[in-house]
Amino acid sequence: MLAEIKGVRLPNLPWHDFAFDEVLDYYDGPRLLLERGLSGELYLAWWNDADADTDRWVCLPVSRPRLQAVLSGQMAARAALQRPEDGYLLVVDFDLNTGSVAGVVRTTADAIPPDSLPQPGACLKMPLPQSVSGLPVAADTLAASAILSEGVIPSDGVITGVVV
Amino acid sequence: MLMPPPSPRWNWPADFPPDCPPPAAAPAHGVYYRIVKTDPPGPDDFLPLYHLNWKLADFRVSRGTASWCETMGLSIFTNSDEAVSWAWRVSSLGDLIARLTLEPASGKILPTPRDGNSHHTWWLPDGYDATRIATVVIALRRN
Repeated sequence: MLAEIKGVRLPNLPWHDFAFDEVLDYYDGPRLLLERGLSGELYLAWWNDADADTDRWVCLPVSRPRLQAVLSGQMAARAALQRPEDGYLLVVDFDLNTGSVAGVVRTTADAIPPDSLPQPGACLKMPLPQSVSGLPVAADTLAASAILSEGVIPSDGVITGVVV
Repeated sequence: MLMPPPSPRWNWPADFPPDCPPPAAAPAHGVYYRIVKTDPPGPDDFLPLYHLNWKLADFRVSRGTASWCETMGLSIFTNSDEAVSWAWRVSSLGDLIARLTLEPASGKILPTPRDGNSHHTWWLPDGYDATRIATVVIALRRN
């Protein structure tokens, strides 16, 4: 049984379908997807949890500059989820028995179990996928540039590796 | 004239599809790293997605984000730092990094990098005891 997510339940996904979803990171299965709606809007989708009947993803709407900041590691993944440009995230549950969307909650990172989010300070390090690198830059470039100059990588959460 | 040792005849699980492992996969050999949850590593640390959650694997395949054969393999790295990075990012995977000393009897491996990383996919033969070749070498301490 997956944790209940508090937020605004939506009747369905705000987009109808994806032009593509591209696997950006893979460990025993896809863990991070880049999705593009038919209107060109971009989403980073982190795998969050699953049980026998449900597959849960956390979808973050992103501008291209924000996408670039997250993928390049200039902005930590968790920080991006905690400071969404549009002020919200979508938690999307898929019914594994039917393959259909079982639930969509518009929410914030505070409503998601912390241990299921990317660890504080953990950064990705990957180039912008070719599938979006040729897209025109949206009008929100200036806002996203401000985010880039924010500093971004949080100092909270430190991890050490110990050879045993 | 020295001849390479003959490859073992692997007995793949009956539910592996044809051409799985892919023809390009090579006999396993060398040192790799994988995230595990227990020290010493247990059998559950070596269950591929399709054994852990068949319906989830089926959904991945139906969405086109993985192939059946991929869901039947395990993720491993030649670079231990990359395994550490993954464990750090996704805490649910585990807090321990095991060193695996693979041998041809361990199965087959294929380089499957994402953006140039050292990710490999490892297919285990039916009944192979992976715990025998795994030793925990790194423990992560999360704050």
